[in-house]
Amino acid sequence: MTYLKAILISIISGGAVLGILRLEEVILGPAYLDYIGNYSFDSNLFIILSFIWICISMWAVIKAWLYTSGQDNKKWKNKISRKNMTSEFEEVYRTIKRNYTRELSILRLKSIIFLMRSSLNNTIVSTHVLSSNK
Amino acid sequence: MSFRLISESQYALPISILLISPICLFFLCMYGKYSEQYKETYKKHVIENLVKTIHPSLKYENIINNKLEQHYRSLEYRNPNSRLVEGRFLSNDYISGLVDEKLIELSDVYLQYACVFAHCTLNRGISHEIKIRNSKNSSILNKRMLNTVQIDSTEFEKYFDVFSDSKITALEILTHDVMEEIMKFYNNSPINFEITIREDNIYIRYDIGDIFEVELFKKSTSKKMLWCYYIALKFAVNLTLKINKILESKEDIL
Repeated sequence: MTYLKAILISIISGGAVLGILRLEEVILGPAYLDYIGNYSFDSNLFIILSFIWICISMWAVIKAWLYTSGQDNKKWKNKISRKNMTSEFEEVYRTIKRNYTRELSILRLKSIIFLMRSSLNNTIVSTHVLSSNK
Repeated sequence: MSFRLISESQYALPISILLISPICLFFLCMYGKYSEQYKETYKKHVIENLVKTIHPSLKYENIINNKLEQHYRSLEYRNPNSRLVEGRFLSNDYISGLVDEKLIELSDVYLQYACVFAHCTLNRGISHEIKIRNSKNSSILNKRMLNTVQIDSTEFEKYFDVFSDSKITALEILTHDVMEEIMKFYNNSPINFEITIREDNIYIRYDIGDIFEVELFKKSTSKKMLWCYYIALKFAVNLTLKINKILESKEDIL
């Protein structure tokens, strides 16, 4: 069900965004685009957006296929009930959470920040190189 | 400014692709690096300690290994299309320890698809083979056919199929106590599993997917997942202890 939702959301939202962008260009025409300034809907941007949308949709379809064909054997995870958990396990879980959650959260946050920062740096450098080459 | 220059150029598309592709690749590479670090820390802290709480002698190792490959292949597991599960054996998590001087091992297995495999040793060997499957899973039973065994418990029969080449041995091993342990695990977890008792070994295969793996962008200490790891391992330990107790008390079991 989750993957079915993912497919629907990606197709509908992606299609809607691209549809609106295309309609804006087709219906409103160049006069409107001139009126709002130098903005013009770039068909290259449209191709890139379409490509990203197709990739996301394909990913969702493949995941859904794996899920329904039983090759993604994670279906059982949704059926786990907290009611069955024993008090012994609750105690173990509390200890683990108390001792390690903070450390893991900090590590995760640090990792995400480093990851984003490195990617951003890379983007800035690439953009700078490309624009200076022009 | 630079974006405007690029977007106005006739080379906008190639430039955009040139710009986006290395960024995506870089992001993926860096994600792998940080994700791996995070996984290691998670396994070291959370899984190592979780395993110790089940039995102090159990030890978790985050190593690439093929220690259970021979046992796993000997069982000739089949996929849902009745084809033999073949291919390259991969495993990177390994739990082992001596419980009542008997070896208990558990490992993740990647062979066509991911599952968890446990190997436990018995006090002594039996000359007959016993297989216990969830009723809905019996279609993937090894074709080297064993006879279906009728068990005294209707409740147990409702959920499990038992196969053996000796009805007497199967009934002697599957006492009320053992069936209760299996039913308890079945009721407490939605995991599909199958048990094979052969010679002096108990093999349990859990259809649980890849275990102990966490994602950087997902919550790591998921209570539900830890509960599954906990009961799966506890079940292997308890079942071994109970069957060993039976074998000790009934020396005439063949």
